[in-house]
Amino acid sequence: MAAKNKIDKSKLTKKQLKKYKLQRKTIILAVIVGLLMLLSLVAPYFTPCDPYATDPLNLKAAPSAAHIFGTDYLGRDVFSRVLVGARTSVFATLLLVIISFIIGSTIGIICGYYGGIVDNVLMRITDILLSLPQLVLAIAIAGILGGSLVNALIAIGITSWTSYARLARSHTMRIKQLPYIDSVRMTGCGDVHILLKHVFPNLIGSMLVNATLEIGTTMLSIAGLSFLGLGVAPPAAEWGSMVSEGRAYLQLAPWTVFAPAASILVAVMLFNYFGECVCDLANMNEV
Amino acid sequence: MKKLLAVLLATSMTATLAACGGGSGTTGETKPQGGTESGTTEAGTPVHDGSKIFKSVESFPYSSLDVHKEYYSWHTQFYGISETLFRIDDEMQIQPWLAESIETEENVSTITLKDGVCFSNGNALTADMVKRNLERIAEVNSRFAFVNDWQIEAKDDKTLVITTANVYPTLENDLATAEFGIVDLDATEDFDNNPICTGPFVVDKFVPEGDISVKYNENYWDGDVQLDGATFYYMGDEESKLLAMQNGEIDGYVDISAASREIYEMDPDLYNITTVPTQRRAYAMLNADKLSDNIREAIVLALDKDTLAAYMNGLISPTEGVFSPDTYYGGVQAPKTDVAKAKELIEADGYKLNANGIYEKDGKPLTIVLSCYAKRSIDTMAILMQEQLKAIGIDAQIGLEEDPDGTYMSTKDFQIGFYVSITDKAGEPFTFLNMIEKGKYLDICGFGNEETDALIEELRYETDETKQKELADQIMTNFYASNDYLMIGQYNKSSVLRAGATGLGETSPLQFYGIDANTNIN
Repeated sequence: MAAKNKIDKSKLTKKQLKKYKLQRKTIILAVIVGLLMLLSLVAPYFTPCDPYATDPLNLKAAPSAAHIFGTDYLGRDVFSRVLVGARTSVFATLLLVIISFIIGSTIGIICGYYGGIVDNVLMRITDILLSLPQLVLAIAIAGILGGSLVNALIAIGITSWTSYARLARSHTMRIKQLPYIDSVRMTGCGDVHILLKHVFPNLIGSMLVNATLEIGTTMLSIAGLSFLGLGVAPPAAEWGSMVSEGRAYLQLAPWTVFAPAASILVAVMLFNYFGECVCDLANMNEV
Repeated sequence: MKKLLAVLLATSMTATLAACGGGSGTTGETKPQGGTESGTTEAGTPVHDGSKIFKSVESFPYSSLDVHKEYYSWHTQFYGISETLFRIDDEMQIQPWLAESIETEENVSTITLKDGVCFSNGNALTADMVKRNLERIAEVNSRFAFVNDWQIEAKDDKTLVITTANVYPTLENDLATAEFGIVDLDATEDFDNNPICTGPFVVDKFVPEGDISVKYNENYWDGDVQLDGATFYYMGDEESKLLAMQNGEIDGYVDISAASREIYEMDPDLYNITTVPTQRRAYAMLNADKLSDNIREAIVLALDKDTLAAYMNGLISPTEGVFSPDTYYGGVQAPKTDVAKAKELIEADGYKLNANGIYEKDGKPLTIVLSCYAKRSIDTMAILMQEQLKAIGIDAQIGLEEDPDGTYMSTKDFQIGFYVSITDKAGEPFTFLNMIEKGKYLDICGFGNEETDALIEELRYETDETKQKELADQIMTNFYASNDYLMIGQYNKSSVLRAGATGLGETSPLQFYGIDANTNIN
C-alpha cells in the first residue's frame, strides 16, 4: 500500500514538485507548531522545580545540572519559568488571535454583504483605528486599564480585529457579486443562510492564512507590553515579563534574559514561517 | 555732600564684597598662572578654567527650580544652589548653616545669621530677606501653611525673632528642611528657571524635565568652590545610568540599584560605593475594614523581614519600626516575627489547613490580595511577602497597580496595600505622625483616633525630654498594637563615585544633600 501511495517525483512537473515540497514543508511546520502548542499546554505539569519558589542560597546561579537555564535574581528556576511562561505566552496569543479573527470576520462580512450606513460607520471606525500606531495605542490603553494579562489582551485586541474586518469585507463584496449567490437567493434562502453556508466557507481559507501570519506579531505585542510592565502581574511567568525582570541583571546573570528571549525568538520564527508557508500554499492553490 | 555720600557708598560696597569673598580670595577672576596639574594654584586655591565639570544624573523629571514650591528644593539643594538656615548632619543632628545660632525661650526663638553670607549676586543676606522668604514659603507651599501662624520679626540685619503660638521644639528641624532654602527675592526675576540663592553653585542652563548645568558661584560666602561646575543629565532608567558610569560619561550618582551595586563592587579600583541607611521605609497597610484583627496580627507576625531583606541585596535593611531605635521616639518597636503565634491567630479565627496547605473556612480559602506597584522594588517585596504568607497557609495574590495614589490609596479598596514614605525627614517624628492622624493621608486603615491624635499634639509642644519619650512610647505602642501598618524595610542610600571623585552627599542619609563647595574630581 505504502509503495502504491508513494509519489514518483520524476513524473511531476516543476510546478507540481514545488507545490509538493511546499506541502511537505507546511506539514512538517504544522507538526512542529502543534508540538510547541502541546508542549506549552502540558509543560507546566512537568517543571523540574516550582517556578515560583524563591531560594536565597541560589540567587542568580549559573546554568548547571540542577538548573539547566540557571536561576533568576530571586533564586527561581529559569527553565521552569520558561515552561510555565510558554503556556501564558502561546495560549494568550492564540486566544487573542481567535477572538480578533471572530470579531473582525463577523464585522467584515456584515459590512461587505449589507453595505450602506452599517458599512460606512464600521469602516470609518476601522480607518480611525488603523490610522493609529497599534503598539502606542495598546500601551496607552493598557496604561489606563492597569497591568494584567487580560488588560493587555484587551489593549492589543482593540486594534487587532481591524485587519480581519478589512479582508473579510473585501472578500464578501467579491463573493456576493458571483452568480451562484443570486441563484441561492432565488431559491428563497435568507441572508443568514447565504452568509453561513455560501460566503463564509469561501473566505475562511484566506482569513485563516491571515490569522496564521498574525500569530507572530501578536506574540511580540504581548511580550512587548509585558516587558513594559503592562502585561502579567508578578510573580506570574511570561516570556516578555521575564526579559524585563532579568534586564537589570544582564551583566550579572545573562541567562535570565537569554532563555525567555530565545523562547520568544524561536516561537515567533516558527509561527511566522508556518504562516508564510500556509500563505504560499494558498496562493499556489488559487493560481 | 554728594561726593561724601559716594565715597561712603563705595566704601560700604567694597566692604560687603570683601565679606562675601569669605576671605578666600577665590573669585571668578582667579588667574590660572602658577596652577598645578590638579587644578589648584600653588597657594591651594582652585583654578577655574572651566575644565572641572562634575557629571551626574537626575532620576526624576521636574518642571521648576522654585525653591519654595512643591519639592523642587530637594533638587536645588542637591545641586548646591540653595541653602537653609540650619542643616542636618550625617548623624541626623541639626547644625547651623546660614544661621550662626538659635536661642529659644518658651515660644520665642531668636536666630542670628552668620556674618558674611551673601547671595550669588553679591547681595548680603539680611534677616528681613529671611523673614520674607518664610512668608513666601507659607504662601506658595500648602505643606508649610503653618508658617502663617508664626510671628516673624527682623530685629536688625542679622537677627530674626520667631514667635510661635505654643512652645515649638522642632523649629530648627523645620528650618533645616530643603523647602526653607533662602532666595534673593528682590533680585530673582525667574523663580522657575534661575533662582538666586546662597549656595556654591548657580544655574547655568536648565531644561524643565530635562538636564541641568550649574557653574560655580564666584561670590560664594563659605570658602573655595573646587569645581567649575556640574551637569546632571535626566536619566530615569537604571541600566542607562550603569552604562553611562561604565563608559565614563558620568562621575557618580546616588540611589544605585542592588544589581548595579554588584557590578560596581567587582571593580573596587574604579568605583567607590557608599551605603548609608535612610529614613525612607517600605511598609504595608493592613485594611481593618477588610481583614479581621487576628488575621492582621498574624500577617504582621508572619513576615520575616531579615529573610526578605537578604533577597534585596542591600537595597533595604530589615526594620522593626517606623523610627530608628536610636531616637527618643523610636524606643518602642514592632513585635518580632513569630510564625507559630501567627498560625494560632489564624486558627483562632476558625480557619483550618486544607490539603493544599492553605487555610480555609467554610470551604473558602484564606485569600489576600497584596496591592503594590513597580517602583523602588516594591513589587519584588510583594513577591517575597507572597511567598512567606503562602508558607504559613495564606493564599496571597498580587495586584499590581501603576500608581498607588491614583488607585488603592484613594479608593481605600484593598486588603494589604504597599507604600513608601520618609518617616523621619529632619530628626523629628512628626513627618510621619502628622500623616496618620485621623483623616490624614495615611489614615487609610482606620488607625486615626482622637486619643492618639491628642498624644501627638501633646508631643508636638512638649520640651521635657523624659516626657517626650513617654509620649512617643505611648503613641508608638498604640500604633503597633493596631496592626494596621507593617514595616517591611528601611531603604539604604547607595552612591557610586568614580575613583578620585568625592562629595555627592553620599554620607548623608537624606536625599537633598548633594554637591557642595568641597565636591571634587581628579
